[in-house]
Amino acid sequence: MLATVMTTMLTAATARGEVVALIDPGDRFVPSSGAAFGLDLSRLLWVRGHGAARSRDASPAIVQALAALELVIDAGDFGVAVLDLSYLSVRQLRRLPAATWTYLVRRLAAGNTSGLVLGPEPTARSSEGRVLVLRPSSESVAQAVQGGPDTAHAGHPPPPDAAWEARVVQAHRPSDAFVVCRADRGNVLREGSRT
Amino acid sequence: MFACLYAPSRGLAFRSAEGVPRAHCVTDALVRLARLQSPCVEVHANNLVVLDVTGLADLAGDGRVLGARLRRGAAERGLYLRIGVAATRAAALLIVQARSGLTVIEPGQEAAVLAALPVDVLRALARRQAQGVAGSARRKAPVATTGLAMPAFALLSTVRRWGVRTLGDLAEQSTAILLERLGPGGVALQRFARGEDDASMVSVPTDQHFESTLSLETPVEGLEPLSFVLSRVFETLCARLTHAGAQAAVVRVRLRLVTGEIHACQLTLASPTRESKALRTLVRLDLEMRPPRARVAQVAVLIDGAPTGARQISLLDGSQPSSARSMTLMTRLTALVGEGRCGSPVLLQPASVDGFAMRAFSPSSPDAVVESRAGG
Repeated sequence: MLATVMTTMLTAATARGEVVALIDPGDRFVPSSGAAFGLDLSRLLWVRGHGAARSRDASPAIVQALAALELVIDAGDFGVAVLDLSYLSVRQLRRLPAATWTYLVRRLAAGNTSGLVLGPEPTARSSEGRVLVLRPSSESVAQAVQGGPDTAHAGHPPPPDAAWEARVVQAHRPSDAFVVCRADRGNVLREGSRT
Repeated sequence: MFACLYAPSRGLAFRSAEGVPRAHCVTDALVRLARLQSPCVEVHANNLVVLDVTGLADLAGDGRVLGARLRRGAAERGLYLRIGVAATRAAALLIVQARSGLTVIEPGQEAAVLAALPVDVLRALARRQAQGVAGSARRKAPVATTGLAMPAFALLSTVRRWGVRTLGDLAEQSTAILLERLGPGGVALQRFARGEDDASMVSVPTDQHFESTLSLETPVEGLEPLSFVLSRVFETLCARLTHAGAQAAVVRVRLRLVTGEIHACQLTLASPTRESKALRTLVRLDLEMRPPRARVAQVAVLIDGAPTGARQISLLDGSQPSSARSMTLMTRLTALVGEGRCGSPVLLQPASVDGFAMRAFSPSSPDAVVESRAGG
């Protein structure tokens, strides 16, 4: 689902004629699936890391990715810059000092580039930014439980056609509105509010 | 649209009107002839020159008009040339290896026209490119970056053993299999056989040279102070480039060290520029990789100028990174993440998930393939 959000955002930006950047320290982006989504690859600057399996210590890769993102922001004229850290564990991500994200948000605020950070948990939250929390919808979880213990254990990827619940979190304007959509098609199934 | 001018070594180009033999290198004459039609001229080998007339259709006319004008101009100078006109540079280069006179390939017909040519034309072109450029043209022109020599010499004999006899046979091979068996060179060879261009045009510098030398009272050590010195030198040079209506195509830096040694570096820019900040950054990045071994007592910078290429920007599209800024960004990212780890992905076959190639990031024009990978 994170990949769908990312690709949709990049595709929309390239369709507007913008150039976009993807900092991919996990080397997980698949160009053919991006192209199938309608992403104009000629307008994409893809910075590839060496993948998750290369080293157990992810810190150097993250530092390198942040430096690459800073270079992209400095260059200007990029519509969207994406930093994909979704391959990391929560523990690895929490090792980064919190000031990293404040610094990053300030750099983004000074330019015209929109930033998107993908991670396993809400990380780069700020008063200016938005956090989109994605999790399998309650229906999908219930189906998985009915499917047996093999599909219901923690960390098991949901099926491609699973429904997801998306919720926007703002630091200074709390809201419980959410939408449920399908990962494979992106169409909204229902909207609601939870108190 | 591209036009290729080629004077075969045994052709009539080397006889004067009275039949007297003359010099076997007419590259300078070809460059002068090409410059009458376009400022964007590239030298590929001795007596082999390509000019780019993209965007000049109103002035240069269509392919036939351009070809006829080039032939007439050549005849007036006593040069009897092979002339190829095509929508891609590779097609124009290949067609003159096989056909004499004027050949005009209609846009979109490159692969179909080239299909009948024997694969030996690739070897012939590679041999000429490998010989380089001799004489005064060598000083004026960096040799084109689309060198076919390595893939052609190393791989053509293998391809011939597969029973491939014509460029059409080679073009029809599966790209994924070529990549798997022959590596990126095989893909480069196939793209050439299809008449597809692999790299952006490198314009021939003009005869103008811009030089600035700064002797330092106190020798400097370290890149930071040297960067300040370079800033001053490049600002002066870029002001002179602006006055002359030129841009930097090749930058040569010579640092005289306190030990008496000379530390030299040369940068051939993918896209000419006259932004002093970009030039200084590119030189600094090069020096970071190969720093001078002692303190620097004198800085000398020599720039080969290239004609200014005016480009119309769109008022409706979003702003694009300038070529100089893209070049600097790519150099910095390459230094950070390594060669071939950044750029734009290109699918080798549109409907395939098997492989892709990485190209230098250039949203306005395709550029050189820097790395390929199979298996997505």
